[in-house]
Amino acid sequence: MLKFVSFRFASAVVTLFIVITATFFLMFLVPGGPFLSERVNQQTLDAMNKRYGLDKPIYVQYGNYLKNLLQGDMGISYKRRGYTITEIIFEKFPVSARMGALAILSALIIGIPAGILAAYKRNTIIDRIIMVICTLGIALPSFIISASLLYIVGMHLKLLPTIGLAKPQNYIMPVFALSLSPTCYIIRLLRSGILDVQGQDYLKTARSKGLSERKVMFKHAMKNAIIPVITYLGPMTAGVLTGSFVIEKIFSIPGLGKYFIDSIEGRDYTMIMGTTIFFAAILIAANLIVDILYCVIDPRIKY
Amino acid sequence: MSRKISENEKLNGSVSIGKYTQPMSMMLNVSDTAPASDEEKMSRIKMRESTTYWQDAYKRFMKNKVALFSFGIIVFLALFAFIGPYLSPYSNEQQVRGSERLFPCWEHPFGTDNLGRDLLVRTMVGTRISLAIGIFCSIIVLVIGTTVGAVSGYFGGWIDNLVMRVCEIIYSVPDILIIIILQISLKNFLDSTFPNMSIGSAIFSIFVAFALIYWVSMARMVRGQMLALKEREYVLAAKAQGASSGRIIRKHLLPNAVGTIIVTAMFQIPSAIFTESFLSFMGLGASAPLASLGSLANTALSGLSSYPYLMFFPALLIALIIFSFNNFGDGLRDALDPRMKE
Repeated sequence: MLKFVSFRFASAVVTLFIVITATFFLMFLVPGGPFLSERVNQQTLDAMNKRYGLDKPIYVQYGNYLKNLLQGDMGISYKRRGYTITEIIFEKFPVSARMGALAILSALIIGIPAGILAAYKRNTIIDRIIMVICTLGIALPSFIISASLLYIVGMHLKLLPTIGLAKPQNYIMPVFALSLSPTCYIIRLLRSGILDVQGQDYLKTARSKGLSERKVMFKHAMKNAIIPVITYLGPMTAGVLTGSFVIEKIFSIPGLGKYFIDSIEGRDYTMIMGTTIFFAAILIAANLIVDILYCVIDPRIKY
Repeated sequence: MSRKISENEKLNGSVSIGKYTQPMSMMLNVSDTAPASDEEKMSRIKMRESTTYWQDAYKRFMKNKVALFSFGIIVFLALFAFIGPYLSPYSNEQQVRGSERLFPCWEHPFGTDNLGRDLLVRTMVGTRISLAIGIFCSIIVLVIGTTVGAVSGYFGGWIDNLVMRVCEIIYSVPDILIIIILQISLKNFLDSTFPNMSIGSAIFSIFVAFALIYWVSMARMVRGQMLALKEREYVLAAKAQGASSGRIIRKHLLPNAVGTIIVTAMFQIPSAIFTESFLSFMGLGASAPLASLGSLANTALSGLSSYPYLMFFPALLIALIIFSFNNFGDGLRDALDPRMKE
């Protein structure tokens, strides 16, 4: 177990290092420097480049970047003067994190009971309805759902506020749009998971012992049926995180996702790089946790 | 076959009686060793064509109503995208003066945008771009993934180890982020190096980014198949006859994994279209004057409250494309590879 965890941890660090390196050199491919748009003469430009260490050869810059990164310094924003990337991330991320956490929670809270329900009522009208909704929820991209919600619920019916996150009801639409497709995936995974274990001998044994259906479900069937859902938690975090880019854009939510898009449009290269590395670190950490969780829940899996 | 023989034995009384009434007898029945009669020979002739793998799959597919319906939608979408623009009186770029921002009407069934461009024809061209991206990306993934997967699965050893480590790293990297980074840097790089590319640097960099990221799942799938198939007797037979590794992979292993390969490639199409529309919606995909469905939806977002139809039609088409390809893929999987069914 310890060996497995340390191996996974090491490979997560290697992956993160590769992401950082790839991002750094790819950003270097982008022509032009950060100060080209400032109307200054060559002398000032050279001085500015020197000031920020951009006159040095690429490998030296890379070394410096890594060194600073280890100390938690991701450089300065080219567009928002006077702010470091770290400051911006710490200012913007809590907003996105709150929304993402709500989305993940609601996906689990709605998805797991609905999945169990669909499995237990299989081939009835309830199951059919749930499965049709799921198929649609997976096929519809989140930005389409949020745009339709924005128009119908927000602008047409005027039921919910459309911009920002000032009041609690502001959260309803973005969180719904963000959590719809993860919810549908969880329902499908759990339904097929339960149907798979349904025919197994150990469930027959449990039932013939006279256990109540509830105990059979939660003590025996769930343990195996939930494993695909656990595996999905990693990709789900990634989906919610990247989904938040467009959702924040559509609902004008001042989170990190929206800021990331703005910095792409404004070609704020250090910001793009800093955010990418930050997001990548979160996702790699999420995958690591899922891997460990997976191993804890199912002791048969040995590494 | 065995059923045929036993029927024949029933006809040929002595055989079955000799066999079944005296099971322990060591005595040989002479009629057992007699040359086959004409009747017996006839029974060996195939009574009907045996169904091939493809006929079997076709039959299974035709029974699946949802998948058939999705296939119908795909055909319709392809006609809409590739034939449609030629039937329209307007062109993609044409700005009709005096009919800007029209609500859907007889002349412009999908309405017009702020420059007086017909949305119907723009949606058709957008669908064409989306479909082309989906299909090209799937082909790229097919070629790279199959080659890498086949080689790594067949040869094993350090090649396999290396490939699997690389796959693991790419797998745990958030794909959208990497695609965005690749897209930005490649696009700028291409724009400065090759100023006049015909297909547009944005779309080209999407191809490259997809090719670099998405071959992994295909390679894993094919590798798994190779590992199972290479232990079969027919591979041993081919080796014994002196076939080279390349020939074994091409002639024996890949044809037997073709169902899995097609299904995996098929699922690549909606996921590529999904990612492209996502990128375009963020303003990173196909750039003006080319407009994919995602970028059409993106431009419509700012005027959503007044001109909802500009968002509605592109969004509907994106949903329709992804929905039909997903269901078609499901149907294909059930038909070609019943064991993969969830």
